[in-house]
Amino acid sequence: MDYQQLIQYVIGDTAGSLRLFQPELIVCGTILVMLGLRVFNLTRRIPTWLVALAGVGLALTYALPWHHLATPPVPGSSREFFTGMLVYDNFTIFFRGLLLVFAILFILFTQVSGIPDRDDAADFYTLVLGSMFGMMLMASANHLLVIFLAVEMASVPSYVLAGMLKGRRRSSEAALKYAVYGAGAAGIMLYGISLLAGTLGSCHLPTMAARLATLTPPGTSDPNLMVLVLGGLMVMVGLAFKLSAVPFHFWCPDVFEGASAEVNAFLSVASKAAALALLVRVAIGFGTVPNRQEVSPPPVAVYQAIQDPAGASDQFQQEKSELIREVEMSEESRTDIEQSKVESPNQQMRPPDSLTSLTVVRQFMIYVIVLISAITCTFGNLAAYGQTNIKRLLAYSTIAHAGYMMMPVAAGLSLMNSGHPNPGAAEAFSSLLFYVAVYVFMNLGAFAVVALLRNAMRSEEISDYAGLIRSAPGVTVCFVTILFSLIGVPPLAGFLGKFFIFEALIKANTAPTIALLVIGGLNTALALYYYLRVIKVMTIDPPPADRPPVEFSLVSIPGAYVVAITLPLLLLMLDCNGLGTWTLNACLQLIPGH
Amino acid sequence: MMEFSPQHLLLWSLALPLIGAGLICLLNDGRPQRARTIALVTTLLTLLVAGRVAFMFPANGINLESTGGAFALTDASWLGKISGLDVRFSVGLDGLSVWFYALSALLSFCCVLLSWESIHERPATFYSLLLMLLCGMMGVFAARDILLFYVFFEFTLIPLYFLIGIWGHEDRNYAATKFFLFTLTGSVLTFLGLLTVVLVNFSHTGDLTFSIPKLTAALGPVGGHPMPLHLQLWIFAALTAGFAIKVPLFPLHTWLPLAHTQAPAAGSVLLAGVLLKLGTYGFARFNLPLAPEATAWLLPALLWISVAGIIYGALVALAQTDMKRLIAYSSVSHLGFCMLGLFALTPLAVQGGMLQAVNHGLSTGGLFAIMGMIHDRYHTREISALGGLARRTPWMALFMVFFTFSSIGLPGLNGFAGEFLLLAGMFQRAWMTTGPGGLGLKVIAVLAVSGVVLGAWYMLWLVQRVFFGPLREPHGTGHGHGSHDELGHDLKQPDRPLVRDLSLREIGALVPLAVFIFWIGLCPQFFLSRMAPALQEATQPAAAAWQARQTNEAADRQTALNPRPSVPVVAETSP
Repeated sequence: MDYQQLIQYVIGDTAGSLRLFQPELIVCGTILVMLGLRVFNLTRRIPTWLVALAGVGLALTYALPWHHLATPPVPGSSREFFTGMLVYDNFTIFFRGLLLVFAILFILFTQVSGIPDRDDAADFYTLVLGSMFGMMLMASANHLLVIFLAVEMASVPSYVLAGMLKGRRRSSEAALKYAVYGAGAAGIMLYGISLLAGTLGSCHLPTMAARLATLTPPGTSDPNLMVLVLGGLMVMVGLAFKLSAVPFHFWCPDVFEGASAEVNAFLSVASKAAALALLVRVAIGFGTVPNRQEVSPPPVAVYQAIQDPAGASDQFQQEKSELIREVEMSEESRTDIEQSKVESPNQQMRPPDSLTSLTVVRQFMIYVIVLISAITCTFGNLAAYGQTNIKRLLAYSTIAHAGYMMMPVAAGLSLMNSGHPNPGAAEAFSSLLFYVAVYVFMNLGAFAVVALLRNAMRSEEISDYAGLIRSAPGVTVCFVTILFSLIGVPPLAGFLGKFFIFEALIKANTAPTIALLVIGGLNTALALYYYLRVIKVMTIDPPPADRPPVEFSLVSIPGAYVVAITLPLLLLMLDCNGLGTWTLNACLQLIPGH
Repeated sequence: MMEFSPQHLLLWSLALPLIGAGLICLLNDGRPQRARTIALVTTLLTLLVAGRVAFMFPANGINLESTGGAFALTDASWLGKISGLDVRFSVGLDGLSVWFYALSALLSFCCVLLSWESIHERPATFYSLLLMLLCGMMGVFAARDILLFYVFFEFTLIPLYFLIGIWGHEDRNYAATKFFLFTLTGSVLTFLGLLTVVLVNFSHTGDLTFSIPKLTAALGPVGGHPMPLHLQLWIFAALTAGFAIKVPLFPLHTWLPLAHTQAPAAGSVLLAGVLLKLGTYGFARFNLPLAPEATAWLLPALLWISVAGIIYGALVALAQTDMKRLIAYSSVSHLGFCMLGLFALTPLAVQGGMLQAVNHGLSTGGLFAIMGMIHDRYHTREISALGGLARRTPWMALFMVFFTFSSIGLPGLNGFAGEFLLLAGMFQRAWMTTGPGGLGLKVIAVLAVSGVVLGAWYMLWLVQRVFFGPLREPHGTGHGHGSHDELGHDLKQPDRPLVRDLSLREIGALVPLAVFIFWIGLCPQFFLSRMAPALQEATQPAAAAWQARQTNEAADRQTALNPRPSVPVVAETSP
């Protein structure tokens, strides 16, 4: 390939990539518009939140989630863009859509609850959308450098958001703690990335997976093994920090207590969802070699034509994917042999006879994830017991839920190892997506109630909620519903989420996942107590005599908002097929062989 | 109503309570009158519809094949499309569930009448929770799909938690929390067990079904994929965790006396009458058919646990000073009988055990109702504070004696039919079992009989101390309860008793129970014939597994006695 061809390729690639990148561009544009309003002092005349809402809404229409997710993906329609930095598949579309939907709900929530005030609004929404942009990148990252940039892009605005309540010592302390922890974790992660990149000679995830597959043939000990393991663990540190997984969770309760409930909702939902998406990307990225370039997909065919007028990029693509294809062939043939062996369904649960090096990589990730999620889940639930502040309690509940949500990743990797990647593993990953979608409503609802009650009664202590059902029955019923859903009591949506996760764990049927299943089951019981305590305080305990009456009617805009967030939790049980299909379609392309 | 098919009636009986609960919430004006009227009408309608369904049930309990193995079956896809998952909205009745289903409706009706005047605080919430509980109870018995079953199973917890926690007595807070923690912890494990069953079936047949009859058929000995014993034991243990807490079996019963004592009268009645039966029902529905070999393996231990519950419950009941606590412990003892019958695995015993479960609902439901009436009048549950109430309240004493007789198994009443059958079946099992295991079973059977005697002792003792002897009333209650005076019965009598006897409303709450107590006592065949085939089907595999174990053990003993028994046999038969 000569210089001319390279230039042509880059131009073509960028032109096509920008098309796939429209929602992110719109979000960026919105940020610029808001900053412009601030510069020209127009924020008094044009409400910033409307601009933000319009921008996010426009981005969502361009993201077109319902258009892509309703039908199973066309084989091979997943593709890389921006020269392999990002990847565009249904998983990207799902998370982009979910994050944007959350952004809409969140902007409405901040308007209902009144934080930020008019002066802060422009800064606040700029930061939120900036962070949102980073999160969208996290969901589509395909390159370790993009992963690092996306994590930082999502984190740095969060540090500022945590300290948004100006003049409050706790808030500033929370922001500082968050920033210091975040910087530390980012440093370690970057170090891990450099170790991996140095050893494998690339930062492009599929290339790295392909090199991994050839570098460490099973049975032999590679001299670089230690470096790779260390690098992998260090990258995991960064992810664990974003997930607030134990032992990198320390920032979470302090930040949640110090920051306002609105920021908590943002951190506990959007940031968690994006971190989980990234975890899946990294796990799949290192664990599989995709067969992306095999078939040229219809939706991208037009783009191909633009990008590739004279077949200029063919050579480049070929060079890049030669190695990948080679390994792929061997992997494919292995799976073929295995699948021909697995004829009677009785033997489906049988572990594979031979371990290839990617299986070893996956096994390593399974152990790390199982360990972290088991500890995170148990620790989060136990630590929540003694809490007296509702935001701190919900922080620990968030930590515990991060543990639950990591479980299906381990299940999915196990299913890939045991030789039925599709649709078994895809279903396991889809249970994660399902839970995340439910979790958006549960946690956003919980923090919305906390924020609105704070406005009504100026307190965030659990003991001050005593007997709330007498003075504010409607919102209490909603909050109780949300808490029961967080426990996972049927017929609420949280139950369905746990149900699909447990189903995935049982299907995986290996020792680590069964252990995880038992731990998950026990944790559901453990979690009961502290949620139930809040419910008890609100419904059974008598109200304190000296409390001024709490004014909170459901027939008001805040009331309607709370109801609107709670209703999906009740109604999902009636028919969750739609969401189930979407999540499954979003995951099918993740696993090669589709 | 005649033109409705049983399918529609069953669906209506599930929907009516929810509609009623919604109406109460919508039309709430803060006063009890409207809420309780709607609740009464709803429960009455539900009772009529449920009764109609129950009496349309085929008399011999069979001929259900044409309708998919269940009566009034409605089967619709629910969470079907996701990745081959086949969760269905499938409700229907079979012999196991039909009487529990009807009992739920009957007791709820009585409960509304019972709570008529004792609930002043937030009546609308109370009655709508009661109706939601009714929906959950009927649904759990009607569900034919594991996920649907579990949804209803857990759904019964939430209303009851609030019923105990808000309208309970002094220690309600602790009682409600303990109740919820115990039962939900157990049922999470049960759920994992059920999920494992579904996936084991999936690994065999490739069919991700949640249908209870399909799973029972596929994993039963006939279906061709019985699970290995060690897996059965794990599943049995997981399922037992939830059901044994619900029953409650002996060491796991500690939540029950507390919850019973602290719950409001309606809560106690439904808890004792229906919700404990969920455990018994769960064992019969899931444990025995899905894990027959594990049941056979654990059988002696299960029988010992049951009989320990019988004796322990009775002895602790004897020591109580609180009337509701006494009856709560009597429930532990009575449920021990039910489980003994179920685990004895002879057709007689199993029928007796399940009939006894229904009986216990009627008689203990009635007893708790009367305890509630006493509490309304005297605001005490202390046995020592009361005495000679028969003079004050002769009608109440009549009903009390009647329910006591039913509870201790007087011939002619329902308790006798159940206890006789299950003990006869137990003796049959004990004497059919030879070898060293037989002795243990005989001891169990004899101990169980002693439980009957103990039962008569504590119940009659309670009646004697509270209702007979010299009149004794707590101080300061002579003026009766404010709400009773409002009705103003017998005002023209100058020397009217300060505490009134039963009002028509209260009699109305007790009479339906009494009618069924007589009916089951005099004509148990009517009820037994409808449940016998389903019970037979559910327990047959476990009974066969037990028989096989016996035969194997006998053969082993033979081998031990006679080192080479097979050689001469071969020698004889070969020419």
